[in-house]
Amino acid sequence: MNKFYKNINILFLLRLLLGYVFIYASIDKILDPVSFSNIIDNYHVTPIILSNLFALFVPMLELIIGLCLIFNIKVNGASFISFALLLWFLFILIQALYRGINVDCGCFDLNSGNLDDTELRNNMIKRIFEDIVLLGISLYILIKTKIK
Amino acid sequence: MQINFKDIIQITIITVVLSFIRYLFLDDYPILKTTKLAEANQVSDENNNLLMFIENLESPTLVDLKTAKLLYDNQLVTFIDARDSDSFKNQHIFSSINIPYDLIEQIESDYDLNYLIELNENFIINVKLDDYSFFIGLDNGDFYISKNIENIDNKSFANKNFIIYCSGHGCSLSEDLGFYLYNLGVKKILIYEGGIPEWINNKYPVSNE
Repeated sequence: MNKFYKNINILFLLRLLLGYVFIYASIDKILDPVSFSNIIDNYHVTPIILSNLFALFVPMLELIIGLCLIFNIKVNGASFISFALLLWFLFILIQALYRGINVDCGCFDLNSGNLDDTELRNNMIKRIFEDIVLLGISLYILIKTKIK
Repeated sequence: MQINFKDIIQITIITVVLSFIRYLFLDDYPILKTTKLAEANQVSDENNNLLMFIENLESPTLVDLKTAKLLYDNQLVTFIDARDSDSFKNQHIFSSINIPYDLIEQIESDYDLNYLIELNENFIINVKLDDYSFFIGLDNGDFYISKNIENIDNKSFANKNFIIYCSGHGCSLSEDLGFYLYNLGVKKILIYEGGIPEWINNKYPVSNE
């Protein structure tokens, strides 16, 4: 029993959490790339012509690094990619907020229903804080994992 | 801090392969996306030029603030607000009509729009949404939308050309509503992407009635 508790360290829990968040976020988007592609258009950061490509690739990347983090495979690489991804998400969220674009975030679910503008805006601010926390977690994992 | 680039490359390759497999399961999903919206050419403020511009519209077309304002000033189009009714009541472009995209399916089934269109006969219906109402009319293949029934009776030119907006660049409601109306058979549709924020920033007429 003691051995079991020793294995549950903070790093393990954080990996589990981050992995879970990524997998949870990816499922909806993998199932419905068309909606996700439209959400990407709304951010007005990347050219529309590439949206479909991103909508295919990004959720799959999220799923794979999520699985890697949970099952302790290539954790160093996965946490680096998660750090880079989250940094990118943070950038596009902040630029959207700054430019006054009220986007349906598309972070976790693709249909946030009939939210009005202020609700969308509040949601975005919430997502930005979450993003920063997750960014810290992936940086922590990246620093703590050594290359074997 | 150590970074294992071999891991990163391996993860990327696996992702590319799996994305490609996912792609094979998708129908009608072009790898490179093209927008269905046409971009408007520059128009000048001579009335003839504007009329030509409207006559030549074939599919939903994007317009910028300048063109939107010209059409507004010359009263050649009807503005349609695609946002929900609360946002509309808060502030909207002066004399625009509110057709919330979220309620469009409800309107379609409540008034049996598709059946009416299939009959291919002229009709006028009074669409009522809670405390708001407007008229939709079909006359010899032309759709009219107006708050006053007289405009439809008189076949007012401005009430068969529509410019749809919502809350600016992050908002896709106007485009969705535009293509919805286009598929119903409305011919002259413009999408004003700047929407209410850009309109207010330029201190153009708004209303909150």
